Amino acid sequence: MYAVLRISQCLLQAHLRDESPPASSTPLALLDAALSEAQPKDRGKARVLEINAPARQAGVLPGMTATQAQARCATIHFFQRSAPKERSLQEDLLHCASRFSPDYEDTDPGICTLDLSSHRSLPGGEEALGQELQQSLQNDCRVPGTVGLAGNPELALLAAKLGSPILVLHNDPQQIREALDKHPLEILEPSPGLLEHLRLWGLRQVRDLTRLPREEIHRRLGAEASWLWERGCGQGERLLKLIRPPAVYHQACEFEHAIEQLEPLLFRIHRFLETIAARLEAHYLVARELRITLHFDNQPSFERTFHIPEPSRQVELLFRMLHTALEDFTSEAPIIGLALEAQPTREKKHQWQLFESSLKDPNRFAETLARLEGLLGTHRVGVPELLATHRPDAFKLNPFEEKHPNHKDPTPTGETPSSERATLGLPLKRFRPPRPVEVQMEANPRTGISEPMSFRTASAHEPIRSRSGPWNYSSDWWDRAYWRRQEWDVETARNVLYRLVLEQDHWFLEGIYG
Amino acid sequence: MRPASTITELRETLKTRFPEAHQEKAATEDPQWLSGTAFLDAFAITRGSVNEVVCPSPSSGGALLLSGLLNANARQHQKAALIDGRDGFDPESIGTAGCRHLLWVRCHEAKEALRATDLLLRDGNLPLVILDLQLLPHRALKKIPNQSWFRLHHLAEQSGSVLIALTPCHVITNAYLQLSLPRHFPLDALDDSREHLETSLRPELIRRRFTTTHQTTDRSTPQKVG
Repeated sequence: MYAVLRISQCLLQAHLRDESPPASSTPLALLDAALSEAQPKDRGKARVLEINAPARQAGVLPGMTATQAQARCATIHFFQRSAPKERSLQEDLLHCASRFSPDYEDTDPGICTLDLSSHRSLPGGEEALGQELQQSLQNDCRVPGTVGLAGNPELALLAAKLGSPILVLHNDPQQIREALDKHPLEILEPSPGLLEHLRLWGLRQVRDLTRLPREEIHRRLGAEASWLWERGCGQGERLLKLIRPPAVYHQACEFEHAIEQLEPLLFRIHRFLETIAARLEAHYLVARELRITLHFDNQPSFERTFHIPEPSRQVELLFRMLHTALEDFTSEAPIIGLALEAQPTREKKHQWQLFESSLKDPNRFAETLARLEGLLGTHRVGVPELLATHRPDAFKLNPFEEKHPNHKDPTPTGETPSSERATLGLPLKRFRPPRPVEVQMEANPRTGISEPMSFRTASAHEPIRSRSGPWNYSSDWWDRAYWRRQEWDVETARNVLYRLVLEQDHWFLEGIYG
Repeated sequence: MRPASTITELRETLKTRFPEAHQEKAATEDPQWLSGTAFLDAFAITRGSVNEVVCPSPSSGGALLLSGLLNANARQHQKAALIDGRDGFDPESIGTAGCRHLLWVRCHEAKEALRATDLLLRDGNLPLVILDLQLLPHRALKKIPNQSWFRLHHLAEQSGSVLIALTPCHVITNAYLQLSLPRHFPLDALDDSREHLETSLRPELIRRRFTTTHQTTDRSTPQKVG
């Protein structure tokens, strides 16, 4: 058993399925060239490839020039061909086919032939299968299509052309004759020359051809006519050129109208995710990373990669992650293009180390982190990592990953230079930025060293009861960003322990010990 | 009709009509949360609770308690989040080990800190969430409505996470446990070892809320009047 999925006027449908559809009464036509790109003198010569029913009723026919079409229908709306859209529609069509059979052929644009010989038999038979195919075609491609089922590929194609929307032709010569005989020869797709020849003979319908003896047709008109005769009788056997689609988890599009709002962008992202997730499912894979790229009119593209802690192909989960990240996104220019790519991986169970505990729901946690970053900013949420320097308050924030890489010791001794502050004395609560103060210094009569006696902030004057220091720090003399500072630990009359710092001849309150 | 019996009958009616709301939660895990520190484990903090440690003096040991808690948590290979109300956390004071399993959320005001706490408690993935409000001004903390704390209570109970808030004054209504660090450290404490300082940390219990999660209180007994 073979099945053919057919999208009529697929080139035009490729445009209409993603755009806001015009009213059903609007005449539409697809041109073979862009009017804007053609020379002024050639603009009227672009030819009509496909039309819809209102355009046909207005008298527009395929093959006419744009000028002729406009002369017959002044309100006709033209589209130009878009290779990415046509490719996307064809990919969706093939993907739809792949869900029913591993053996399918990319027959023609808008046509896909499936070999269902290995397919399970449905309780309702071929009719139920046809229903399922037609529904799947509608859901996956989002365009109307027809389905034909028959015992050989050529007959299935004819059934798809004649189906409204489904036609099943069993191996019954009587049924095949009744289905095909009354239709014009054009449905067999003869070459123009052969068709003209047959018309000269007075042959108009399929039955006119199939009533003639095959051998005589072959002798007089050649192999093509013989092949045409076989098709008319429902005997067109041929081998399918099976395809194995590449595992590409990438969707991209350019917007005909630049997007300035978030909702239409999210709508397109959700569509892309559905397609990508379906492909991942077909290959038993999940996404471990998503990369989204937004193209703008007059500014560099925006690109961001999302790591998925627990790889998944659930559309809603992946969409929520992208939605959360884009909620606060703004740009100065409208968006003219979108690309979404998933890095696939196999589902695998993670084995934790003996005493290591896992997050209960890593994907939910990733979403929470995204919300926190949206609330506070990207550089205010993460895991702190100390830098290998004596400079105070030197750290960086790393993204929170469930599985932490082995922390590499920055020095041969295995200790970071500043780790002694973590084992001695009270921890510090820092003022960020450090608060400028005025410090009153007096020389210690015993040591002769100037010591801080009190300091004044914007709001208070604090006498210092006891002090410890000074401790001098500096960077390496060859360091380009050379710094040096002097620290004092002081206790005020209010029993508060502060760190006073003198840097570049200015005093600061760096923090409170406690 | 005697008021007391009416209330009793009303309770029985509610219990019959809504049995699921009156069921005791099956204790699938030990309700007590172990911090790994002697100064907190002595108070038997339960999971899913909001606890407050009041540090009336800036040098009373709030950062020391935080340091001990983070390092103990890291030794147990547990993950934790620190919501830093005024971005005052110093990773250098804690050390590499203590920071390894820590999610540091750097806020600048009380409103941001509360929203971040809400998100993390709602998430429920991290067993310990620390909210450090020590450096925030008192007047900003007093402006936080009680409903915010009640909501955090509810989220903590739902998720089972423990929230420990370090505050400069009492602000949390109906905290499960309210401790205080009344003592202030002298200057020579800066020369003492961290380990010794942590052993000298002695939080005082101010108040403990009677739990209704794992120990139900039978309040159906009518109270005698007069």
